[in-house]
Amino acid sequence: MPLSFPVRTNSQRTTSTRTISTTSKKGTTMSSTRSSRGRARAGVLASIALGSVLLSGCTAANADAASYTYEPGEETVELEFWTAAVEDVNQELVDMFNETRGEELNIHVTANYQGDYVETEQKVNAAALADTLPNMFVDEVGMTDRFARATTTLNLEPYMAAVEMDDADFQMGETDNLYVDGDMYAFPHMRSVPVMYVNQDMMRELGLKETGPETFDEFEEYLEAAHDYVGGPAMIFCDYDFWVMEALFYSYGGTAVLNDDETASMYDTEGAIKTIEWIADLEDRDLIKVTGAADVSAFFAAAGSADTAFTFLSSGGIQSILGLAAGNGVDVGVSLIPAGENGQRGVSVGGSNIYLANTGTDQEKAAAFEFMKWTSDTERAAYSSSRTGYLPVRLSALETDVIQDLMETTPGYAVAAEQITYGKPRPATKAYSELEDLMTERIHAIYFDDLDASEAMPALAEEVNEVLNR
Amino acid sequence: MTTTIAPPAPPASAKNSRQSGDGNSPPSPPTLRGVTPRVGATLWKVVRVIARIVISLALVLVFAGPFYWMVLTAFQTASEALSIPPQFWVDSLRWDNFVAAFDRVNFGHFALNSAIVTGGTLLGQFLIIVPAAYAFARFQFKGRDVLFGVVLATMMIPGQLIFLPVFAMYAKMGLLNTHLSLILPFIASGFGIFLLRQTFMRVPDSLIEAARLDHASEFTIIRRIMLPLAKPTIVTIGLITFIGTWNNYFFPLVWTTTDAVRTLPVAIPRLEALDEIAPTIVMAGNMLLVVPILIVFLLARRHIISAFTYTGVK
Repeated sequence: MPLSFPVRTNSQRTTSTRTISTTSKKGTTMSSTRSSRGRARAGVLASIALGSVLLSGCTAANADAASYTYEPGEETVELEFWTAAVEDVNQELVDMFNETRGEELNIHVTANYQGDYVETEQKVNAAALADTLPNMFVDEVGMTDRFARATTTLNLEPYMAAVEMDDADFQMGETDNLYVDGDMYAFPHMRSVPVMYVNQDMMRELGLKETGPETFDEFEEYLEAAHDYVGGPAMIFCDYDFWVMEALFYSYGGTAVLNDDETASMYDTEGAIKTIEWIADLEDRDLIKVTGAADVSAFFAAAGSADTAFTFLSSGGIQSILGLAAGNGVDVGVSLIPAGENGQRGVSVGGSNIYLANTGTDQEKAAAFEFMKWTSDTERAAYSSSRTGYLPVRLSALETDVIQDLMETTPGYAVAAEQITYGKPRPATKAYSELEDLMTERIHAIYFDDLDASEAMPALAEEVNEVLNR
Repeated sequence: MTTTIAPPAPPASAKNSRQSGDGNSPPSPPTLRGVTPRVGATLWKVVRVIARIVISLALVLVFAGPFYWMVLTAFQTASEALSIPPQFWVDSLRWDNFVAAFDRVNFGHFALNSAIVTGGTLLGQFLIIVPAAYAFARFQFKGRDVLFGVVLATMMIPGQLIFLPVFAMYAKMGLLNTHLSLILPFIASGFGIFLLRQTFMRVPDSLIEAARLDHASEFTIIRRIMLPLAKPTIVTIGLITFIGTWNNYFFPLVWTTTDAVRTLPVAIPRLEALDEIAPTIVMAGNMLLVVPILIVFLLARRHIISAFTYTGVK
């Protein structure tokens, strides 16, 4: 299936006043003293002074460019790289770098795993306070803004400009989470989106489309048929990771969780309320079973079970879920999350970015950028994707043999690549981790305590607003 | 028919009068559903025994159930562990889950770190809390009660409150990623000092005075009198420290940035990160984590019971 991705060029980016200063730029000024011996002499001196200023300006510009460019020295530059998630693949990338490009450039990278995204964020913040930051680190996509504003990470634009690197190839779906005030502060590392896993055996048995429903109206009809077929709910809905809910708010309700500038909740809107009412109604009618994080094992178990019709889950789980289903002798496929009543679709783009930390000498920073550049190139993007199930982070990676073969053997990858074209940015506010817990708890209360969503959601909106404006 | 419930144990006089069968006594009033008091007492006893068994079984289920589930999952295949309905037994033991747990993380390295940190903490604690508890229990000095209050207050400060300043301090001192960084904060256990002080205070003054008359030094008194008498308490503190340190997840996670000194509890969740839908290997790793605790508990069980029933010098 041919895929088209909207490509944003540098000139299309939002240009706003820079509010973050991460790298000091050296400038040189020279003053001359006007002599009283005569205008001619003064003119000569002025000319010399002007020339000196111009020359020193050029020298400063060159010095700036040089400070963003890596030049191998006599000694090996040792870099520390903190990783989160897919530890084994990150370690493989580091080993490959050290054996190839790193050896050429006299750079050696040591990878150290720090835990999940939230744990890594806490450790990065602690390290920033204690002045023990690693040279680069991996963390969740939604953290770019908060790291940049805390000056924990560096603006990548000068480094990219120094090597004339273009970011157009990174425009794989939504990429707002890479930029702060129009400048690039992170490279994409792994990308995933929620998709719908469909029990194709059951669909065939029921005489339905084996790719599953395309709209939420169809989805409901399919759930009813599946309910009659298995004699109970044929889907477990688990929002242990809140981004699945974000996808449903976008796709079913046509709304985001927060407003554009992330100063207020959208939970008091009609779209948000009807989304929750719809899920609660499905549960009341025994068409789905809603579970929380405590039942995540049961949720995963059900994803590959013969009695499960649909599962909303990360595209990063393609290999695991299809493998689990195959082990159970069930044919499971991957489809887009259904479209809403106006045909709207939307999913939050998840995964991780790689950040350049604000630490070390200019040479270490430039060396770290070399590693980031290498890790994010087309070949490595394809490799990481094939090893994990995450989507490649470069458009050019889609054309590689590795990804083409992958899409041929596992068509679900192509669906995930199509799903990311409907990508939306995850909320970037630093309060979002706290808000996710709050929102999950309150929304679960609506399902499990049979609360009225039209009252509970505006109340939740007020709670969210309080946190946002704290 | 009356509907009064018979008392569990009828008065002896009533029993005797019924047993005498003299014919003059009025017949015993019929009890609930015609059950005689004697049978009622027996029934009551049976009900109590059954209730005790049911409650015990429920408690066993609550406490041992998760443990059984962990053992079961550790020996299952992924599809068995994730099957619906769940399987409560295994057809064949899958030892390869343990091999995978060993292979996927450097298990031996993390286990050695756990042993060093736990052993170091136990040793350090012993060296700190015994003299501290002895001083608080047997000496009168200015500010003693205030200092003891400070010791107790340390038990009320959540670790999450101090981890950041301690991390920054370690960074300044160059102690990050050292075993010492995971041992030092835990050797002055407020709980240990408190528990041992209470035990030392129960030792009769006459014993100490007799030892002093024999020119015993304070060190000798601690070694020859206090420690033998406080053995159950020391074993209990040791066990609590062992479990707490061996299982500690938070501090080894936040105070380390490399694998050099990380311990097993930090390593086990990485099995899940490597394959989030295969709980079998994670559970195998958890079993390996728990086995040393079980062994130590079984060895120390007798002393723990003594510690909490200890009443003085026998």
